[in-house]
Amino acid sequence: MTKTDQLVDKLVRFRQLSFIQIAQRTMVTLFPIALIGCIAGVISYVFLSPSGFLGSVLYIKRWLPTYRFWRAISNDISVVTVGFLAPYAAYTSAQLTTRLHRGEIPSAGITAMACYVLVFYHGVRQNGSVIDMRYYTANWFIVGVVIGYLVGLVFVRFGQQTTINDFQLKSNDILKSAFSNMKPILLALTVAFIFHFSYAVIRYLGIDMAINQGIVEVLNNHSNYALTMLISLLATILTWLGFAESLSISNEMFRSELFANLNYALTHKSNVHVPYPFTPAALYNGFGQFGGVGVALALLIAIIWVNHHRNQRAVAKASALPVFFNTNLPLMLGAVVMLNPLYLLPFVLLPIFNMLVASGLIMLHILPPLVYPVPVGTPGILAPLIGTGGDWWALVWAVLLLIVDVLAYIPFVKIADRVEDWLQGQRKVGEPHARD
Amino acid sequence: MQEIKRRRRWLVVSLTCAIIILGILAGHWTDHNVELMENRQRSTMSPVIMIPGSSATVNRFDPLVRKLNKVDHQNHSLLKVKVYNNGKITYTGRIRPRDREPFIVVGFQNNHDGYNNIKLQAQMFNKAFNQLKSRYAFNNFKGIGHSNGGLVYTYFLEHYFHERQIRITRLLTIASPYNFAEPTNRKTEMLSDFERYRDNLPKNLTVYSVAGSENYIEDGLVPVSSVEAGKYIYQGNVKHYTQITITGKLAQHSALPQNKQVIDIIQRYILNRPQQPQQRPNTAGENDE
Repeated sequence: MTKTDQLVDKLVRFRQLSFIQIAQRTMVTLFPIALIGCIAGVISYVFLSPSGFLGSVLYIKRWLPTYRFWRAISNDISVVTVGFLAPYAAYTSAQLTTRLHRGEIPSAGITAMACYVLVFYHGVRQNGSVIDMRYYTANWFIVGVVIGYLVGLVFVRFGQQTTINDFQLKSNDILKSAFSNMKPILLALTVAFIFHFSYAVIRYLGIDMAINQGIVEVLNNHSNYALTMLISLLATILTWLGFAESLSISNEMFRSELFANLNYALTHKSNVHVPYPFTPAALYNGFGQFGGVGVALALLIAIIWVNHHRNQRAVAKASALPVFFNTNLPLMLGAVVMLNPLYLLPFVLLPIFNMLVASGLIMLHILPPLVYPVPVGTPGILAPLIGTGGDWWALVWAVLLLIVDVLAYIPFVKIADRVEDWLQGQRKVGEPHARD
Repeated sequence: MQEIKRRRRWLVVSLTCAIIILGILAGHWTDHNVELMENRQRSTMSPVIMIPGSSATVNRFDPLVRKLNKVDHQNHSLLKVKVYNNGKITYTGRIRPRDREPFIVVGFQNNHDGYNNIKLQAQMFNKAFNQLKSRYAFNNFKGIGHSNGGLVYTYFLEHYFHERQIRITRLLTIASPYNFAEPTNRKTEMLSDFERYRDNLPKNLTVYSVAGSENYIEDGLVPVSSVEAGKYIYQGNVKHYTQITITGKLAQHSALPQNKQVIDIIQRYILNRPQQPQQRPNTAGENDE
């Protein structure tokens, strides 16, 4: 047995853990929904918004005066899909859990969804709205999966097989099952209520805000290079785990440095000697995320380049548009990147590698620092071009880095391919699986 | 094998096309954008943008500007901008070339009272502001709002004003009823909303709130306590917040914009000082020692 075989063997075993199976099936189930939502999001934020990338370069304001209306309309699609992905994940993972360990219990999914919403929905908040939308977005995907999984387990342990999905039965007999699953429902909701209560206390006392402010304060006051790399590391690891919330904190950071740089560049009409040439936010946005967190565009290219499974490639192709505009969610779900230990290494290290190389180039004055603001949804590959104020060499270097990233991803995609082969080989007994 | 080759070629070609086309567009836009930003940065214009109160028109501040020009001899030009309900925006008057500190009055066809109208007016003001900022590349401005105009300003700053390059340095609200005509112990929905979103206010802003008082209690229309409720929004949240109460002749609500003390305050605290012409525009707000 070679080393790769051992690795493949371990990965196959990991994939067969019950929670991982549930999580990955949930991802695949929600992939189409997420894909539609992400495409709608790209249309709304990148194309139909004057501060978005396409909206900027195509000057949308000039020829589509009603862009606000269209943006709102397409944003709605994105909100009800990606914006609610976490409770949907809770629903799906609870259904799959009961199905895996027992028969199907229809009320498990809806209970999981109710539990999820209950944990985060608070009427006691002093100010701000009752529904805090950010807890329902795809950023909290993994929390939804975990809650769904736990609720599913409660149903597996205490639930009753109901007669509700047996359509042979007469209507009177259906009612018999009405209360049959009261026990797991109550249990799950009670536990959720305990979480709801503790979180309500925290929120009522304003502890969450204080912590949040404290973090932002620390980050604002201690901007340095090593810390940025650390934050990038943390952000990518959390995204890989399915929790992308941390990114919104890091985007707020280092504002003052960006402003100082921009001010300098605009006043002196040159971006060569700006006060903070290595300002981390600029490096991260410019070179750390081609195709979104984890250099997802490189992974997408690598999959289309070498993967033998038509389904995998189809997923990659379908995700191409959002990933090109830096929305990596569809690929994360569809190509099973999240929670896949195989991809952890390149996913986390490649952005840092890119940033280090870019810093070197800036230090050697091969590239000017990135100082100019970049519109929302700018393809990562074009961000250096815009950030340097139109330096074409920046684009060339970005493409070179992307090629290196693709080459780095290829061996990992090949191993993923073999894991997939293994898993399919085992499935062949029960359910036939097409392979090209 | 053939299939893989075709697939790879297709991938490379489509990616290259996308990068080249979007790259050219992006490069073009960046050049344009950087130039715009540089122009704005260099600009020495720092207008005073004024919003009249309810039931008033764009001509509301004519006497004020006339009196100001008489005392400070700067010959500020006066531009009047009217926003119609259907979104149309008309301009009367013009800004003299090289006028560093023009007055711009933004009025609305819908000039009615009430919180809902204030929200609408803030939205309309935002529209006008966006046009103004692209017409005149200023990088900082001062605000004056009379009566409900100050409320429109507050709503605008909390909900619409997210500028990277443009700063509002000073804001003067004249007899703005932050709690409408209610007593302090009964907060209106508007005041609680203002408090809720107060963190969105620009941190570097200096605010003056002027109250008129005819009889210890009110200026004939607005209670002094309602004007003073502005402290719940601004105090401790912007750089400076100063509350001024004016009494005596012309301290009546509608007369306040023509009041001698108010004009004095505007000249002293809101306008830039003409004796320091070499100020950098982007630090214009810092010299309020």
